[in-house]
Amino acid sequence: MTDRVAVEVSDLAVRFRQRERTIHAVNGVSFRITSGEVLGILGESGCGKSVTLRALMRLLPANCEIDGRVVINGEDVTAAPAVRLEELRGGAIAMIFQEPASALDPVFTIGEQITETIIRHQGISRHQARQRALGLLERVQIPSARRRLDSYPHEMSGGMRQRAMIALALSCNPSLLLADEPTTALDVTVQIQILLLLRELQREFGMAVIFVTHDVGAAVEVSDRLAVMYAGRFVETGNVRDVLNRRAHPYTGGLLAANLHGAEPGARLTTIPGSPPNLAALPQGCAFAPRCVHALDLCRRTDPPAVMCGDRHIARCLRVEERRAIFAGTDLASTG
Amino acid sequence: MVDLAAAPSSLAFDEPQGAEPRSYWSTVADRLKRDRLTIGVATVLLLIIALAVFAPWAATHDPLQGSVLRRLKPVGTPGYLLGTDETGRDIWSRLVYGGRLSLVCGITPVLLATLIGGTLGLVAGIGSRFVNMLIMRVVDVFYAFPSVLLAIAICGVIGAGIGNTILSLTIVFTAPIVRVTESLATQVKGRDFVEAARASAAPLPAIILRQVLPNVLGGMLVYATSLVSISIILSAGLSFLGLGVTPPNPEWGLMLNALRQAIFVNPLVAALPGVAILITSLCFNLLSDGLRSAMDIKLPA
Amino acid sequence: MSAPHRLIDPRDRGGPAQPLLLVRDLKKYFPAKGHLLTSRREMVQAVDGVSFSVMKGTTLGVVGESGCGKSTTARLLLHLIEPDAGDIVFDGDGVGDPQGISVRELRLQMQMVFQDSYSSLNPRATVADIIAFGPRSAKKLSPPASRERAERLLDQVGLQPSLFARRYPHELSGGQRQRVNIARALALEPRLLILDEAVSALDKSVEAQILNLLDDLRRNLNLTYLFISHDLNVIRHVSDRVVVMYLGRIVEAGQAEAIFRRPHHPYTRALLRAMPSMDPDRRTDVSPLTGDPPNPINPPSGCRFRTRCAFAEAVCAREPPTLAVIGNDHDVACHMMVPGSGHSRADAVAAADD
Repeated sequence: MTDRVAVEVSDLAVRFRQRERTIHAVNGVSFRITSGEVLGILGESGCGKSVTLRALMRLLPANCEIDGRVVINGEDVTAAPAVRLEELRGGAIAMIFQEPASALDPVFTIGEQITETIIRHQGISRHQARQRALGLLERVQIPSARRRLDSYPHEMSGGMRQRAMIALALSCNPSLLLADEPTTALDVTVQIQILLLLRELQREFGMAVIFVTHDVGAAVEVSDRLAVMYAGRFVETGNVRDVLNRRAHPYTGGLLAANLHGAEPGARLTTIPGSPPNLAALPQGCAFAPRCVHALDLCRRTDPPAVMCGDRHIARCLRVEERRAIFAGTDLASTG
Repeated sequence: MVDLAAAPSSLAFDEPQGAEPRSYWSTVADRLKRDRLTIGVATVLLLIIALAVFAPWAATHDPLQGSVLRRLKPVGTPGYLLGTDETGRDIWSRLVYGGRLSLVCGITPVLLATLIGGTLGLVAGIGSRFVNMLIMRVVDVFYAFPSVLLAIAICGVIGAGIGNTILSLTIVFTAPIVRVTESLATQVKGRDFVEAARASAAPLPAIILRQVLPNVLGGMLVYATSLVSISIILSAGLSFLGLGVTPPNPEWGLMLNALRQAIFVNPLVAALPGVAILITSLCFNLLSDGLRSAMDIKLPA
Repeated sequence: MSAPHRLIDPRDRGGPAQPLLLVRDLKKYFPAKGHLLTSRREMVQAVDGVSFSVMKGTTLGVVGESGCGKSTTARLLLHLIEPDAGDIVFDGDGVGDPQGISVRELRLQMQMVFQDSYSSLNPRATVADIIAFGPRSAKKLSPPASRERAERLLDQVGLQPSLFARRYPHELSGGQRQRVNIARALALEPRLLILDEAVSALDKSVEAQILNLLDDLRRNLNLTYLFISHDLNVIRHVSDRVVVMYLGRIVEAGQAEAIFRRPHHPYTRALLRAMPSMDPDRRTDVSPLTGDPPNPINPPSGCRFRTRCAFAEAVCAREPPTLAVIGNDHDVACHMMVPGSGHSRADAVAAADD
């Protein structure tokens, strides 16, 4: 597992053109992940995190425009023809979803689906593919795996379906795994099992993973790096420890402060005033400024640039520098 | 760490989306306005209905007045726009007057069936399992008969005439409407807001009227419109068979029957009533489709 | 968080010592679908002997995972589903008793806030109509009066009436819709509010706003809450007392602080350990439980948790444990906690009593 760059995204922008308006779902997202690294994208609903993921695999509807460059394993996916994308999807790049129903075909058994995928991407015999499928089901800890090869999705519980979907995604040894809120719909005791499983598999297969979620806890459990997303942009990116402790961007601070984990039972919770902006009519300047306590006039007029505020730690805020000076010396790791 | 608790709470809950309140129906109307096919079809239908309503002014001749001398004149004969029929009556005038009967026989049964069947369907959907079973199994019996045969059978028993045609078709259409309405009502019943209404100790009629019915109307409207298109054909068919409207009343189905012999002499004239039936029926069908598309609004996620 | 209320509601019947809601041995079984060919009728034992009480002015949290029966319990309380067995007593009056109160009278004092979803509000009605429906139809308030109450409630839940009254549900955000849900529940002036996963579908920042609102309302309107959620963080934040459910039964009940600080039942402990760590340096290494919750159609005999319990023994399969008092307002249904139950650890636990 060398430290080569698995995914490099530059200035990704996605716009949905509708009759009366254009929705700017993603507004300039850039990041880089090395192989074997897990990037967590943390954001609330409507921030564009799922769209970003789908844009990487070109799984978006026809009425959207995609700008920017996406390079996966050295290959420029933005310019790739449809045929090549077909080869990549399910093969080198795999995706798992919040609802296994999206990925699992209800009329075929799990075994058939995994076997077909393996055959299609790797061309080995059916018998061998089935053996591989069995191994995969065991690896994702599905009990009675041999019997489950012949089960249909509806015959399995939610947690098991999720594991089957993971097995399907891993069937062709992907180098990049895209996970779109895979644990959001699961019970907490099942969720932790899936999160641990993903961590193990990620280490074992050496995959780069992009894990999209709105749950801070889930993000912390699996991610090496964390990107906080708001209104279609990464407002803060960095090592998960750094982002959690330093909270350079006010939105990160607000998001984590509103989290119940550290709150005292019964006490009043801190909230972020207002609501997220309309993606069809983004305000000028910083998209978070209308809700930001620290906003200056300048913030409302200029687009905040990405400011380096630590080792591989970036925040899109004009006031990061001065706040860093204020907080220098204070050990923020002890708060919250 | 940023302390956002200090922020003014007037920023708190902002505004709803959109500048003006937009009800579901106004959104549907907007979508319809942009659907050119449906607008076109609706215009044609309005034209047909207008012609039928204003028949005395639209017609050029007395529809009942014929002349042996002017039998089966072809289309484009001066004075007789679409030719004459087998007894010399002007086709155009008969089509225009016939529109009245055909439309009445087409729309009225569906209206009545919707009233009766809709109510039964609502009751079956909302009521207890016993009530539901009672109503739906009776409906199943009617469903066992193909609609055409059922219509013919009923008319055969009670006799011909406009009133009987309407009655017969009403009976035929009630069953499918009950089924569709019951299905819609059952779906709506399971939704949380209906449960909330039940939990509010409101009386059942209020729940049906204010919560269930508004959500069922859309689907019923689409289905009823599609039934009109069938009804027009069925009523014409009954008249064709002599079980519906009686001669010498102008009615498209009846005209078709009368002009059967003329196929060998003047096929175009003979086909004209059929064309009228086709266009009207097709228009209602397309209108129904258009309504369905307009009402199928995917709510923003 | 929860001082006993100062004002006495005019409808109060028994004073602060009497529980506002008392539930005894509630049961509900559903016939399982399908399986026409089996002679034995399979039953989903959704709620199997649930008992608890809610004191006035307090919040009882009901926590459990999917299939535990908490939502069914909520609907049984309001008689949206008919219970198969059990008693519901509201402020001393039995529901359905000839000398007690009717279901209708119960509903005028106990209301429910549903989980936010598109189906929780009538899409064809304006916000004001939605809130006014209860008072108009159930209490026969005049249209202007119910309209006025609706607007007052909108104000109380933080939605400006001039902006929101004539709006439709699809024009509102999730948080706004949930406020409307709350306003609707309050329209009939209930004394007890059941919150069924009321914040589960919301973003965390919106969830915080709504929880603050609920707290304000509880104090201002002298309400009692029954808060149902699968989210332990939320339950810990809002509850005075907590009840933990598993497959239709209560496994642990007591003061919230006691349960969260010193959980006794193996399931409660697993539940708490399963919560994701917020410290990247101290991540979870081992999952506290393996496998999925068992099928509610054929629950295990005896203790239902035994198939996933690390301490299960023969007695656990033979006899279902009952809720036993193990401390001051702390009950646990586990053989390990009861000396003389036959479990090898039972006496050891009793000896090492805290």
